[in-house]
Amino acid sequence: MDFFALLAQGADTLFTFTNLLLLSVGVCLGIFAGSLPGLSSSNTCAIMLPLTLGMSMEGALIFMVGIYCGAQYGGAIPAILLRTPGTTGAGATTIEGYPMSLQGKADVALGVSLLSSSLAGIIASVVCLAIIKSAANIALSFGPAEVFLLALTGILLIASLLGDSVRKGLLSGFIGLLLSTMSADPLLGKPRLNFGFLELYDEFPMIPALVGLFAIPALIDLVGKKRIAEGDIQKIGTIAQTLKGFKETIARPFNLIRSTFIGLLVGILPGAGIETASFLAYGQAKIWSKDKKTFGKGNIDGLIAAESSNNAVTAGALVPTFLLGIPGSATMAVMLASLTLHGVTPGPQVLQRFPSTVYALLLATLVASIIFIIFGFYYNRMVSQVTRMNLAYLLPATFVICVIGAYAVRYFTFDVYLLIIFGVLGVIMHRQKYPYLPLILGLVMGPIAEDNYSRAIALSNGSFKIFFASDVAKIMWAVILVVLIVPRVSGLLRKIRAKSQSRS
Amino acid sequence: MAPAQAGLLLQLLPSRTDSEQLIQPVKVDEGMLKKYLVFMYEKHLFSILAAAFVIAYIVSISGMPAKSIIFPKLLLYGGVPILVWNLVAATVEFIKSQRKVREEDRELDGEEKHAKTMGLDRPKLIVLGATVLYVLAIPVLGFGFSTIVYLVFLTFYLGVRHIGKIVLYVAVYYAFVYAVFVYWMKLNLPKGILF
Repeated sequence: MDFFALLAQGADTLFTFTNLLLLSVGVCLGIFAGSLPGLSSSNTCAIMLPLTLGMSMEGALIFMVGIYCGAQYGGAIPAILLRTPGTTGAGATTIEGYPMSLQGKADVALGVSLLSSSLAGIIASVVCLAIIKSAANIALSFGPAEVFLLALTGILLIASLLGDSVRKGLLSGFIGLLLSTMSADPLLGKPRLNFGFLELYDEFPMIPALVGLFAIPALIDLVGKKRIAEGDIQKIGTIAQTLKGFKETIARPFNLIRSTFIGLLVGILPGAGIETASFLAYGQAKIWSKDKKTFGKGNIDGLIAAESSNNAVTAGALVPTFLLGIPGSATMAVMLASLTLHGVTPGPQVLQRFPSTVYALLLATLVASIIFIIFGFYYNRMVSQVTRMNLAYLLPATFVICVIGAYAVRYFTFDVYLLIIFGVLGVIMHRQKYPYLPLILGLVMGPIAEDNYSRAIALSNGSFKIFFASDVAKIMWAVILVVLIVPRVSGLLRKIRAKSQSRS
Repeated sequence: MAPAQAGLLLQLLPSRTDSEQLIQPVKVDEGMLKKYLVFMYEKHLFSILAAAFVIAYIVSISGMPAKSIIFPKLLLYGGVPILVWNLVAATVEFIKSQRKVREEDRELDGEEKHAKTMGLDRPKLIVLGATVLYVLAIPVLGFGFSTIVYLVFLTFYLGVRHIGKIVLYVAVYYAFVYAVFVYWMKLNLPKGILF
């Protein structure tokens, strides 16, 4: 069947009153859930799963795609307003979004985030529709060795680019990776350094660590202030400021498109993770930027990169899920569970048997990206008022939400204790200028790195040649060398210039 | 290499003054050790904690089957040199800082107090302490009771003195939490002795 016929079938499936309503409700629910730390798209989809039993298979999947797309944007809201990423994909968003809030530009940041997410979702969906079958070949060309190298590149990129000191960033990343291995090993199931806690047997819980490292130091820093926003608070909540954010996004098309393609490519790779996409895109934005010094202080390019890449992942993740039967993320795993509940066996045959459904889902990510711009526009204006609120009310409420968020993931009080431990660690790192992002990245990508490393070693019977064999692997190594060497060389050149200027 | 380039590169080598400062022996006494510990606590506590964690990690995985620690071993081979690099750089930073300290009068007592609290002022420490106590109280007293007490205390401490406003705020917020998380999301929040 040719492309246009498949597209028409997909459109026919999606554009019914019921399915469009389900998509809209899913998007609204996703934005709301994403904006609550601890509630991600995957657990929201899991909670809604029983409700979808009464829906048609297409309706259930379209509903979950709506939640998935909405949540990727929704996670940016607390990231920008409270330095608390609502989803793991919003980690990079906090770096630039929160400083903008402190400057009284929360609306601008939310506007940038909203339009970047929307445009990236639209572009990624269109590209995916056009190349869906070739995209499957790209996914197949990345074996475990290549995915391991991709994870390593992401961590090294962030460790070497952020903060004042490469060695501090690398140490932070190393500790994050070690922490991620505090779980049962993937091959034999032996517990490693879990101090006898069964709660650490499965995998190291990321959400409490993420919320603790991001949110607690930021909230502690706010003690003594009257409100979050320092700038002109009269402008907060105005349409003009949100539209200013839109204008700033449109003024940076190259960054938007580059970050979208990074997100799309990473989304196509099974198990690479939304976090990988957002941090890779963020790192790239800094490399290409002419204004590197403003990164970490409210740089709009960094914000665009983070938000556009994490939304582009949503379209890409559909490819390995429905073409290869390999879920690209936890949310995709829940969607595959939904397929099973509707009597369909997940796998490569889904595209052959239900092509209209697969194309409808890709169209759904495109339409969802348009829907959330409408809902998000009004939602943003409401939530940005948070930066004007009296912190005497906001701070305790946010701490409680963080506690609930940490607890809600696995229903363990242990996770709440971890939240506080990482909170205190975050305060120490913040005070002593050790970058916390590489640690978070190490924690988040550690399981991906270990899983793929172990499989690569098993495939090659213990030989490390597998990490250098393919062309993709060689490109990854070249990127790693550039990432490690370029900052040192540019630092050296800066010293030479400074010394020659002081001489003259 | 052109003379200008060679000249520029030579500038990057430690100057004679820098080298002299590094080579010149530092007088080690009891006070110096105390200053070193204070310095490391104030500026590089994370590196110390990292070192302790890595040592505990190595001890715990020794004796484990090789297949269980394939990835951790790779991490340790790459990461331990980075940790050592950080500790050595921190020590060099301390030695350099001592050269400058000799020329200045510093209030050691004030410095030590600042170091103990990691630069956090009293309100921040109290809020952090209250949050820690709140988290510890949840499994004992229950989420509901602990949260209400925490909200009341923190709101009052952060400046709201109107009791009516505090009561209204706590009631509305707790109702919101209950409606969203307990009723809608069916989350079972921890119960302790109370609620």
